[in-house]
Amino acid sequence: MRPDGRPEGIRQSMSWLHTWSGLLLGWLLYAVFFTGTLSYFRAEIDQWMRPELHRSVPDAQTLERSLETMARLAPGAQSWSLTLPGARRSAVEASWREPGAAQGRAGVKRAFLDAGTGQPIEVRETRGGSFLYRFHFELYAMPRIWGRWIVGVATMMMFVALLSGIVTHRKIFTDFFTFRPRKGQRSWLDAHNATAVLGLPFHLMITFSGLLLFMFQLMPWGVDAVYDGDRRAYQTEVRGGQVAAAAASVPRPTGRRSAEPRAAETVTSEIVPVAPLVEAARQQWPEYGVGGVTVSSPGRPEATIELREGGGVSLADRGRARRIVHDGLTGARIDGPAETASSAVRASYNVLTSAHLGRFSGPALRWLLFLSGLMGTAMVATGLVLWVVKRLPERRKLGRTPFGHRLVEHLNVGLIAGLSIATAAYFWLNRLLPASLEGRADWEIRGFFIVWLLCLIHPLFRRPRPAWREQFMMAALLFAGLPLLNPMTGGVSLAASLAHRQWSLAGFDLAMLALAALHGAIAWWLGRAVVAQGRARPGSGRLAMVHAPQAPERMP
Amino acid sequence: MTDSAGLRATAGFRSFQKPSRYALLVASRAFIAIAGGYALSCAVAAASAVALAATGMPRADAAMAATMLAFSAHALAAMWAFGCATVRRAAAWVLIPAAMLALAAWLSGVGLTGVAGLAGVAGLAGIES
Repeated sequence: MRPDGRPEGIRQSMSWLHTWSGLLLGWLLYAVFFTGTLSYFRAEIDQWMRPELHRSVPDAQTLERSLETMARLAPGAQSWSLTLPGARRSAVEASWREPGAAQGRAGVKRAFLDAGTGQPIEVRETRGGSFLYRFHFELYAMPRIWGRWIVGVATMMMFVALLSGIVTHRKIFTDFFTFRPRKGQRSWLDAHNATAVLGLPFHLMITFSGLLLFMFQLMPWGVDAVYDGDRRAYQTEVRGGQVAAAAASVPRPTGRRSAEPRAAETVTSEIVPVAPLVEAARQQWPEYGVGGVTVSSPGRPEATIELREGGGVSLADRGRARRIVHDGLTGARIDGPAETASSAVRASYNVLTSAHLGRFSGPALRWLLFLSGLMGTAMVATGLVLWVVKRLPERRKLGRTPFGHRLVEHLNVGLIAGLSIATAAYFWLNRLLPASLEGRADWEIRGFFIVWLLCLIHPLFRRPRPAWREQFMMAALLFAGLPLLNPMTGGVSLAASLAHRQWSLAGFDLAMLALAALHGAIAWWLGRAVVAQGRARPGSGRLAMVHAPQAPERMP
Repeated sequence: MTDSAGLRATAGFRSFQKPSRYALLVASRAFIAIAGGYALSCAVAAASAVALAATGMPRADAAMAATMLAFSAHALAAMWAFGCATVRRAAAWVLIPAAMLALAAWLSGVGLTGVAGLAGVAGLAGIES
């Protein structure tokens, strides 16, 4: 793609493609990577953002107490579903469906129960980590389908940028061990290469599986061709045994009830004590134990009790939790249909998408995915900065900064550094907005976008490098303040959560301190570059990050 | 290299002599990559799903494998669109297979698919010569 149209090698043309496909939607990809990476800890973020739940401590009787509460809260419900406290949550999350409730998510009622007392906990209205999670594939304030298309297109661009980047990059393994600090453009290139190569399997997995997760929207033609457009039939076949394993469709032994008629049809029947069932399940699943319980048709003769394992076993099986279903009145075990093994194709689909969703993962794998996600975030950011740095010689030659260069530089500051500030501000607003505020959850999100917008305006009035430094400094301060804000606004302090081994709470505060340190280190490094400016030739070495000596430094 | 013969640049893409020509070149390749690539991937999805199902693979697997293939085809088509020496060649290598596979999926008949395939190969041979 030389402007003069002379012939060029495949490496050159792929380098061109890599540069421009990466730049065009680079900021969107950065935001998707950033919020998606945080989503690996969605449960922890949800919990931190509901400090009312922090003091809930589970014990051996938690499940019984919760079921008693449910019998009081929702005696006539079609089913109760309880997610029990574990490593990632401290309270019981209950959901149920009233008779005649709307189909789908709209008909589901939810409550948090205190694990120690079984009582419902009144929590503040917040979207929590779900906002960040949804944003990373649906964006915000637009019809879902548009957001998904936009992110889908960006994902394909990312895939193209990755593949063309690999072709461009001939010394893929030597470069992984190469880092030349303080060499300006070379350092940025090395940083970009190292983060890309080190995380390459993750980057390819996350991008390709991102496309697969949207396959019905982006690429339904394969399914339509063999199913004549009947997508529901496809989904049923893909799930195979999974649909049948759900409590609702377990074939019940017919005739037993009629052979033994009960007058209880109108009277509420008590379900059997669950403790022995849970104990038996725990022996069968020594690793994760019981993570959730669903009671279908509680109080009626056809009641069933389904126990779910607290974690998935096999990735190829979508990291799906194993289940045991019991008869609600007798406690007898009801065998579901035999599980079918996944075929090779379906197993690869399952492995890819479950890894994307972090479905199976215990803490170690979750952290590995999180760190890989951070690496991807850094890869996108260094790539965007590299675009600017690489064009500094051209700027010097021209003696001015072309509008395009200035635009990219400006957007880099406001969208990369600004997103950190906006995210930290989202957490701050979660604690500072009064609990009684009308539309509170919406205001948290509006606050996030207002702060991000301010971060885009800020570089209009500052030269690029001070703008970078100030924004990183701001982000560091905001992140560092969160562990202090937490106990002052109803949460459990870091000291207490560490002492009580509440790792999910302590983990959030520690992660915020780590983010503060990271942003602070970048701000400090940028500050050193300013001091060194007096000694070094302007625009050389590491000063080159965002520096254009002869250029007018302000946006018009 | 007929598309842009005669263009001479000194340095950087801002300083070429006929920017509109260059912009047109980029735009046409981008069109082949995005629209042509998507058309190709849709055709790959449909045709390979039908073909795999015809080999006896369970149809859910056939549809899924075809979809994975289709996404990869789009990415490769995009790279091809920018890697090819001339725009005409790029267009031919993306659009002719797309049309061919779409036709094959639509006809879903082995004999007719063969005819469509031969026509496509002949077309590409014509472009290349």
